[in-house]
Amino acid sequence: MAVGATGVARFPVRVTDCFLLAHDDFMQRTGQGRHVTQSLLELDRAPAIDKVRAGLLRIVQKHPRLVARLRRNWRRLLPYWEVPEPPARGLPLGLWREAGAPVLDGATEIGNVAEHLERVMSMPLAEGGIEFKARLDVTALADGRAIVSLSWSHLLIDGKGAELLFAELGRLCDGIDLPCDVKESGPAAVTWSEKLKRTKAAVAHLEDLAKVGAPSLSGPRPRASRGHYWNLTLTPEDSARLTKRVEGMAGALFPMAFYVACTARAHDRVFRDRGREPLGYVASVPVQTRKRGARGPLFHNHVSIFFFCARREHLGTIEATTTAMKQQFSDMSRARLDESFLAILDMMMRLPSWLFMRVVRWQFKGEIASFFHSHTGAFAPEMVEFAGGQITNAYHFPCFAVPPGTGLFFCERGGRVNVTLAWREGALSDGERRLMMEQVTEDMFGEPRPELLHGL
Amino acid sequence: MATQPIPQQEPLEQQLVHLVSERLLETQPGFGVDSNLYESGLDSMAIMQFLILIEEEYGVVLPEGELTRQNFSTVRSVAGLIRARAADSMKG
Repeated sequence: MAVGATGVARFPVRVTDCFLLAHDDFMQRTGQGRHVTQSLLELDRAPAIDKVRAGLLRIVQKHPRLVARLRRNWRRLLPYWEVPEPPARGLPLGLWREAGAPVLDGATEIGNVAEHLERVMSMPLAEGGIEFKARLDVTALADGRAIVSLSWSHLLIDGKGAELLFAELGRLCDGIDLPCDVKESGPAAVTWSEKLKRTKAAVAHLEDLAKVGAPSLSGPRPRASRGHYWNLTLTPEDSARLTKRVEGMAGALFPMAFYVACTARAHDRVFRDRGREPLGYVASVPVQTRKRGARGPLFHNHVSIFFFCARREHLGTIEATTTAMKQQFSDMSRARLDESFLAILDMMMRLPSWLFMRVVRWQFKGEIASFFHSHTGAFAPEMVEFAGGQITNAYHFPCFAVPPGTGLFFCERGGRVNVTLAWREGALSDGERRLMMEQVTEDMFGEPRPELLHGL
Repeated sequence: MATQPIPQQEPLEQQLVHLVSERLLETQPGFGVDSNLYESGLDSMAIMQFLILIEEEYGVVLPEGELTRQNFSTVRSVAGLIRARAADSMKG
């Protein structure tokens, strides 16, 4: 990180940050809000708010990137982050309580919790002229439990980074200060011809996918819309049953193949209900480029993308779709398509965001992918409690644009599987949401499980 | 693909410890042949990368039936798989 004469530090954006910057810009320009995702912890009781306030102050002091401002160097064309002196205040904190919840000092009473969480997620992160990159909200529930939600900007934080940031905040709430940044090697000096060579595998792959197309349920035209979320948490018994079934189909080590397949078939069910049978679907699946097991890095987007393709001939049964996805996972890994895709993004970094997004959408005739999906495994397994409350569950509410307007996301916490359906207003009707989740649960258990869809 | 003779007991385990620490996982001090790889962060993507590294470094392709959670729980168990597979190849 370079420090200028004014004391303002600068640090460069990373390759994948530019994609997220373009996505955020696209959402803003098309009236879809900001690219802000929410990560949620369910606690057995409300956390100690004095500890939380102290943690939110410490985390800004320790990680001033949380107030970084994005700038663009018009000579080199590359965006960069500018980090001012950290302010003498913590990340924004919202306190809320459901009617009948235990008293939480300073909390505002809310109505429907799900609607409240969606509203919180679209609140601006900036406060008092400070461009915070995250905010925390504590919602006390009527039954004595609480939900702590961290809303964070995808410009500087990714899903795994958010889990690591939550863990770091938890430690700082308890006054525990551990190093949590990993020394990252700088970008290797590579010639443009070498970069071009590296892009070839991913370019060829994307050209193949373009022949299939990436139809989304929203259609390619962007439109102003709000994000909505519905989370299903399975019981430990159902989770164990699902895990066994997944292992039978995808093998014990590659559950992601099953979950991509499950997501593709769920979308196909809705397409067929609309009377359409596309050639196939393209799934955009993030793959971590962080070394696993570290407490950091907390910031920047450390992911590449694997583009899976579920063709019509794969979609007949969940078994056939899973087998196809597993083979593609192996093929893409061997061909190092994750690195090749990063090489493409690297070459696009200097493009202004509007042009960057135009290039991204050009390949699929205005679409980005048929849907978004991730299976992120155990959610922050290193965390047991947060500011005095025991963690009973955890999951993400991922945010994305129209198109594609829909996504299915899976993670685990304490032996329980969470399935999160995210959709933008207008992308799915009420009936279609139910149809999609009926297909998901049927594929997960091999039989219809309508009782799991209560409240959808 | 490089095919190297599989080293005797200690060196293979130690080589794998280094491979895991340098290329796959941010391991904590004390990480060794019997440390739990899942607790160290092993996930689907890391396992696939591990399989590819094993193929590249030792010329050993592990069969589908051997890809179980138990077999990938420690460096020692992975080393055992590599040795057994290499021995099978030599017999074959």
